[in-house]
Order: sequence, then structure tokens, then C-alpha cells
Amino acid sequence: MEASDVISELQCVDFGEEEIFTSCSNEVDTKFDLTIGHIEDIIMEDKFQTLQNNFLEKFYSEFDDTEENKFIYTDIHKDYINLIEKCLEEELSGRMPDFSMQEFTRQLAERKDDLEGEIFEMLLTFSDFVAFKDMFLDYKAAKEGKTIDLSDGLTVTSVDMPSGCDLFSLNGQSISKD
Amino acid sequence: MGLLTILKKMKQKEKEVRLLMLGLDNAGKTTILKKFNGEDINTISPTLGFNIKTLEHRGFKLNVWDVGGQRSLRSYWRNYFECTDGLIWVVDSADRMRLQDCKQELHSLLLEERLAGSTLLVFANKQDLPGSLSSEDIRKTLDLDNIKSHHWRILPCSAVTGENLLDGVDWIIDDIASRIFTMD
Amino acid sequence: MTERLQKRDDKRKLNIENKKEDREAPIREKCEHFHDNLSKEIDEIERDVSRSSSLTKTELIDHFDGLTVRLQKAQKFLSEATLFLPSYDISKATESLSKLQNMLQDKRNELMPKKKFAFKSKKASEGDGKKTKNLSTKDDAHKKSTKNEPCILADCKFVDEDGKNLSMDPSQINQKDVALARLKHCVVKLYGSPSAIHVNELEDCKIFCGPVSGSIFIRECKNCVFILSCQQLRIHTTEFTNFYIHVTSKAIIEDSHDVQFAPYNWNYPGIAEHFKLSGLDKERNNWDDIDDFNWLAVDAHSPNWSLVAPEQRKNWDP
Repeated sequence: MEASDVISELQCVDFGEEEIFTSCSNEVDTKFDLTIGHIEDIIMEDKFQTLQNNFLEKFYSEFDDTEENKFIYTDIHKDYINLIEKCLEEELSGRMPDFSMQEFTRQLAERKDDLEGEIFEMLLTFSDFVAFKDMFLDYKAAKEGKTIDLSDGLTVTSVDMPSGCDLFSLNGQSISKD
Repeated sequence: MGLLTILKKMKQKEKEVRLLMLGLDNAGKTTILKKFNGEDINTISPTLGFNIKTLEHRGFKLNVWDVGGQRSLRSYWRNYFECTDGLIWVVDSADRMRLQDCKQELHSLLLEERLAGSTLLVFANKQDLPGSLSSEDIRKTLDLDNIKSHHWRILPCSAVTGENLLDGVDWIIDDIASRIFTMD
Repeated sequence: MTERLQKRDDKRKLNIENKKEDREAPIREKCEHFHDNLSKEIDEIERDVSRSSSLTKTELIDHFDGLTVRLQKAQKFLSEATLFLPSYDISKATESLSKLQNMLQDKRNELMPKKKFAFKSKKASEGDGKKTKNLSTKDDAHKKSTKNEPCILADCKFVDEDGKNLSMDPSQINQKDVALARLKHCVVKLYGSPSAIHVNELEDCKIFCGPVSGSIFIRECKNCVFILSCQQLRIHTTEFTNFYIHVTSKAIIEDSHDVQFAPYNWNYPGIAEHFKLSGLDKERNNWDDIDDFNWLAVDAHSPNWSLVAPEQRKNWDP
């Protein structure tokens, strides 16, 4: 086979795949949006809040309100990320029988330029060290009798997050926004 | 790799740069960091852990990590290698007695797999001290010319006067951008 | 879909543009403000330097010290402005200031000549021809490249001495970095305000030093006494040594044991001036708050260091 044939054939295949992709993209999009919706639910549920509060409770005494960070914060942050990732994966698998984290992360990567909305900001906040430290300092301040009210889900929303209501309407918002 | 880490890496590609600042103790790393941020540099204590600053520069978001350089802390450095786009190696140009130590630490760092592909900027700091070595001397003593694994550059600078700090950051951003953000 | 993305993209770009304009306007103002103030101050210092000749010998010391402080302030002003100034402006301003510093130093050497060569009296052979290097402190990387033996020590130094009384005066060490290495049974008195000190391998020595504007780095010392004041103090691999210190940030020890601390108590004529020159806060002394890097995780006190009991503190003659 000539080189040019190979190329044209490849182009054909590419083209074909793209068509297939477009034709079933609605279905994929729906599943993707559904997953995002579940993540939003999971994060707002009491179970998740409890998980987080327990974690904060366990480690907050290690944190000090100083600019410099201790090395142990890094270890605690790693544990925290693992905890949340594990929780999300378990919960998603429970709610969507055919859920695959691998597939989901691939879809995320495909949409990476279009991932806007507070839910992504929030997911990013989990892995953001500075936000993580602030969360602990807020918790500690509250524990030690300073003014912040801890009663409902403060720990998630502490970093520039709006209240839960906004969060629920996000998915729709991000599509109809413009 | 977990979901959150993947998301983070994806986002990092968007004009966000992670710089890791290392070097022997007393090199002036924290002073450089605070100088970048326009903070008072007269009250800085030796670093026991690490500092982070997020700076906006030329439309880039720079996350600068400064980890303590005491000998007993150097084993912690590896916890901060992940996702590093640029390594800033800071040298006390007046500390002639420890340049061999400095050279060894730098060269062993460059063997780290997780730092492969990062850009290296060497700051020959403390040029405000009359007894400091020139960047040319430091370049020779640290054997920089033998570094083939990383893009590198050495600049004389002073964290006290601010001399060349921005030039260094501009260079490292340009180098990183030319590698990573070519799609923009 | 594409249209929507395009719209969003345009909006984002517009936002970025707007932000940029917002940022740039005040920066322009800041730059102008900076240039006006700096050139005014430079003019004034220049004028004062040139009228030095009309002063008496006794007036001159205060006069020059005053000018040095003003020049430092101007340098600080510049360094604070480096964050918004374009790099061309920074190097221009740095150049003017280092010119001014040279001019000041030349005038000082001309009018107070007694000190001119004192600096090199100890090791005269190395001093020749290097004077210019010590005078300009910045932007002279090219000049420095002539030094091609990287492991020799700085010009201000005492090295390889045994059983001596050594000293340096302010004209030798003010705003310089000083190195002390491989000394035995020596007493070293550094009158003045250096910028930094590096100390290596001393045994049975007593080191006195005026206020250091930056950091002091000490390594491998044994059976010594240090009387020091500085911004930062780092002590490594040192044993059986006492420190009488004034530290405005924090002192640390690493791989050291049997080191003791007491408050700084050296006094000599002119030390108040040197404190001023160093910029150290006299009211702020963390002499008893030491971090031991080999004793980080635990709440208990490190066994490697302790305080000198008040009744055991020594007094020193100037």
C-alpha cells in the first residue's frame, strides 16, 4: 500500500470516528452531566459532611495560624485527598452501576476547556493546599471559640463558595449561562 | 492517579505555573519569596517547614513553594517535587565554604525523575555583599555547564535590593511557557 | 456549541483586558511618584556629599554616617519599587544609586584618609587593586569575574590564625560580609556593622561583633564564646560553646549540643551608631527562643541547648 493511501485511509477512519462521536455525544454528555450531578449531591450530603468533620476533628490540633507551614500539613493533605477521592468513587459506583472512574476522568480531560462552574472549582479546592490549610484554620478558630458557626457544612463552603442552593443549580447554569 | 489530582493537573495547564525554590539553608529563599510578594524582609526567621505564595505575573498564576534548606530538612524536599514546572536553586554567593555541598545537592536533585523536564533557574543570590562570588564563578564551581538534562540559566541577584529577581522569573516563565503552553 | 464557546472566550479575554488596564493605570502613577522622589533624594545627597569639604573632622563622622543611612533608605525605597518598576528603570536607578555610593565612599576616603588603607593592613598583599570592588556593591558581576579562584575567602576575613588578638574597625567592615575560618585560641573583635558573617571551624576562640544587618552563619565550632547581634543566626555542628546574642528574628541550631545562650552584652564606643546603621531593632531580642532542627517534633525542650544562668553570665570589657 502506498503511503498516501494509508494517510487517506487514516483520515477516513478519523472522520468516521468523529461522526460516531457526534452522533452519540448526547448520550455521553447526559451520562457525564449525570455524574457531575451525583458528585454535587454527594458533596452536599450529611454523610460527606460527617466524613469531613471527623477528619478535621482528628487533625485540627496540628495546625497553627502562622504563615509558615509545617511538613506534617503535607502528609495530612495527602490523606485528605485520598479520603475524598475514595469516598467519591465509592458513592458514584453505588449510584451508577456502570460507573468507571477511568472513563469519567477521560471525559473530564476531553472537556477540560469547558469545565466551568462551581462544582469544578470546589473539586479543585480539595486538592488546593492553601484552601486546605485555611479550612483547618477556620475549623480550629471555631473550635477554640471564635465566631464562625460550624453547624452546617461550613467546612466545604469556607473557601469562597456560595451557599448550597447555588450549588444545586450549577449544572443548568453552566449550560444556559451565555 | 485519583480524580482530584487529575483535575488539578488539567487545570494547571491553564497558565498556571508551579515553581519550587530550593537551596542550602541561609541561601535567601524565603527572602526572595517575600520580596516577590512585596513583604517586609527584615523579620524573616530560618524556615522550619515551607512557605507558599501565589503571585500573578504577566497573566500567569505562579505558585511558588519555598522549602526549608537545613540539612535535616532536605529529605522532605521530595514531597514537593510533583507537578513542578520550574526549579529555582538559590545560592548564597558569599558562602564560599559550602559551595561543594551546594553543588552536590543540586546535582543529586537533577537526577530526580519527578523533576525531569522542569526548567532550572540558578539565583546567585546576595550580590549586594561585597565579598560575594560572581555568577560566573558560581557557574563554574557548581559545574552548571555539565547539566544537559534540564534547560538552565544562572543569574546574579540580590533579594535585598531586588536586583534581577524579576528577570529571573521572566526567563523561567518564558522557558516553561515555550514547553507547555505552545497550544495557546 | 462553538458559538457559545467563542462567546465565552471573548468575554474572558475582555475581562482580562479590563483587568490589565485597571492594573496598569495606578502603576504608571506609582512609577512617576517613584522617579520624582528618588531623583530629588539623589540630588540632595549629592549636594550634601559635595559640601562635605567645608565640615570639620569631628562633624564629618556624623555627616557621612547620616548620608550612608539616607542612601540606604533610598536603596530600600528602590527595592520596594522593584515590584512595579519596569526592569530598565530598575537598572537605571540601581546604577544612579551605586554611582552615588561610590561618590560618597570616595569623598569619605578623601576627607578621612587615615582609614583608607587600614582595611588591608592585615593582609596587604591581597588588597591591592581590589579597592573598587569593595566600593561598588551592585551590578558589578563583570568586574567580579576576574576572581577565578572560587574557594578563596572574601576580602574581609581572618583565616588560619592561632593565639592572636585580632580586630577590625568600622571602616573595614561596615556593610561588608566578613569571614572567619580555622582560628584557634584567638580573640576577635569586630567593631562595626557588617552585612553578613560566615564562621567556620573555630576552636577556643572568643568572637565579639557589632550589629550585623543580615545573617550570621556558624559551622563546626568548639569551646568558643560568641557575642553577636544580628537579624538571623544559624549554628551548625557546634559544641561546648556559649552565645551572648541579640537576634531580631530567630536563632536556630542543627547537629549541635552543649550550646548555651545569654543576652548580648558587648559595649564599645559607637555601638549605638552601628545599631542604627544595621537597622536592627534594639527592642526586639529573641535570644532565648531557639529552634533546634534536630528536635522539631516534640513539645519537650531540646536537650542540646540551654540558657546561661544570670549569675554565670560574663561581662566583657570594651
